[in-house]
Amino acid sequence: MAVDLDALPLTRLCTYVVTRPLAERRARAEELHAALRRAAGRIVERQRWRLGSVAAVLDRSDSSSGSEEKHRRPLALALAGHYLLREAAERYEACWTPPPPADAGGPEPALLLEPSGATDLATPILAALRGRPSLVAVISDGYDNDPPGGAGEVLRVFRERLDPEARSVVVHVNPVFDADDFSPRALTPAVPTIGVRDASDLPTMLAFARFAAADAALDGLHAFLAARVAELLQEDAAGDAAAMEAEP
Amino acid sequence: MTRPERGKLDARGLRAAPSQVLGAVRLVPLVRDEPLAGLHLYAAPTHADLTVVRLDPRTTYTAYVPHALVAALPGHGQAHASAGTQLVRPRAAPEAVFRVQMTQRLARREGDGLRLLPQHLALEAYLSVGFGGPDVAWPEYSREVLSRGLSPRVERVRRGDAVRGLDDALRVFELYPGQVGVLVFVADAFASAFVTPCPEDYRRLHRTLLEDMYGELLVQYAVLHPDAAALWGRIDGGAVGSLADLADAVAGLRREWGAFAGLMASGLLDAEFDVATAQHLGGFRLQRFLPSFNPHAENHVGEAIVDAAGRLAYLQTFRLSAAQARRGRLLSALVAADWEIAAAAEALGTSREELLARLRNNGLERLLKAHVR
Repeated sequence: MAVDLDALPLTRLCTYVVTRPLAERRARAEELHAALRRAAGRIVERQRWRLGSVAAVLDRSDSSSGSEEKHRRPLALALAGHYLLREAAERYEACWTPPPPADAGGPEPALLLEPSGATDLATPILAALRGRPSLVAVISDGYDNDPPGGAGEVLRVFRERLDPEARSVVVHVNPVFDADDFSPRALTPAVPTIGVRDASDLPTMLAFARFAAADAALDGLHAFLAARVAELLQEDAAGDAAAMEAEP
Repeated sequence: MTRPERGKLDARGLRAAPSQVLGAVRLVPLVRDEPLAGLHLYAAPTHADLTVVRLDPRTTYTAYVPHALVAALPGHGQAHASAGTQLVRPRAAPEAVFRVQMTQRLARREGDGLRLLPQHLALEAYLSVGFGGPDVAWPEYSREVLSRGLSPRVERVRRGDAVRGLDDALRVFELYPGQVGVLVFVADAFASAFVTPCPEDYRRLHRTLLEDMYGELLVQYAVLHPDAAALWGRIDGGAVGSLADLADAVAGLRREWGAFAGLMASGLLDAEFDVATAQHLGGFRLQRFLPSFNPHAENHVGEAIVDAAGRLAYLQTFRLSAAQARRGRLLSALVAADWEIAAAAEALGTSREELLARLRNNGLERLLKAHVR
């Protein structure tokens, strides 16, 4: 059965993509890539989301396979974040762990990634910090095992010693909620961790997390909230209009 | 069953990869550069609440056995292999029927394969130490033990899902390329070893670790030391002035971590065991082994399948609790001394009175007559 890719919201589209067999993803790479860009673009435009220089650290290690119920959910969220941040950013760099094979090819190597290997988050985080971007988003389930706790230590020391004014804001985005306390697992207390179930929440969640991380001025928060309210009203109006049309 | 021989485990071809830690549980992947050809393992769930195994006409072994393992030569019953991958979930709704499975032996030949009850084979070897009771009616022993031996001999173990954090650790654990086995540590105390012939077998059997048996001690360790690993690997921020310094510090952390030599830390390779061969299959031998019951060391019972050269194709171990090891030590000393209390006491470097007290204190009081002092 053919699936109308443009009818799927970004997160569902990403779940669809990462659960396709690799051969199918390779054969349809151009089509899937274009659909993913459009879906991400729709969110970015609707929320008028603009970012400066951004580096994303994206976890596709074995644990991104997710649970049986939420198959490959973490990998799908990483892919969604990748497309969203690239659409919103002026300058964008993606650091996958483990990195994609050199011969991946196609329009977008990330399309062909499979969950695999141990989680070395420390190395890609160091790579991401090197360009001193204004935002580093680490999209990972927080199970950091090569070496264990390495990413948390890198982020803690970076914040304490190398960037105490938080010119590079680091936010940990966790697509998985811990089974014991229903909260996202943190890498370190030194950077905020936000739990995200749906990629379309990412702009709002990231913006709030930036306030937490950067201790931004009150004016900025006012402006941000005003924009969110306007957007919400607009969405409501659009939703009401759609409901009117649906009336018999 | 052959007579036991003294020996060590032969881990040639196996090496430990960097470990992964979650909470109190550390899993050390064991990797083979070359898979061990000629043998495959898969699990066959038993679906029984209780398994009763007839060991001989007068002796049965009764336990909860979640699955059997089938060791097969190439070409044997491959159709079964996929069925074996399904794990039995704990039942959501209670069933009216209490399922009891009757089995003839703990390990038996089935065509080109060998069916065994993992860990139970080893545990039964432990339970059978001194099981028959004294052959000579020494005056200290109770009438009951002289006529019936130690029957029923009971030991309590826990299932893996009682070890807090093991479930999560197994779920988020990332298989290492070429991984064929794992060492499980709880709060950095060695709990068990599991080795299979090849990576595909391991991948299928990984989750069965949750149904394996673990000692009470490990359940306690997991509760008492939930974050054992957090003691490792902090970076000294004072020495870091640049991102390059930070990268060096991470490399140092990784070296330190990799130096946790799993196989060495387990102490498995140094330990001497009493090894007995239970079955033959092609060029392979199924063995089970008992520790030396040294009170100052960890004591592991286990079973293994080794090839003609003595290399491990399959290994599974169970760590005895300190109390279980003490009972094993006392009973094996009594057996070695033909149950003569004074001789056994001498072999243990203690007095007759002290040995009698130790037997009472270690849950073996029913061996003795009530008035014996």
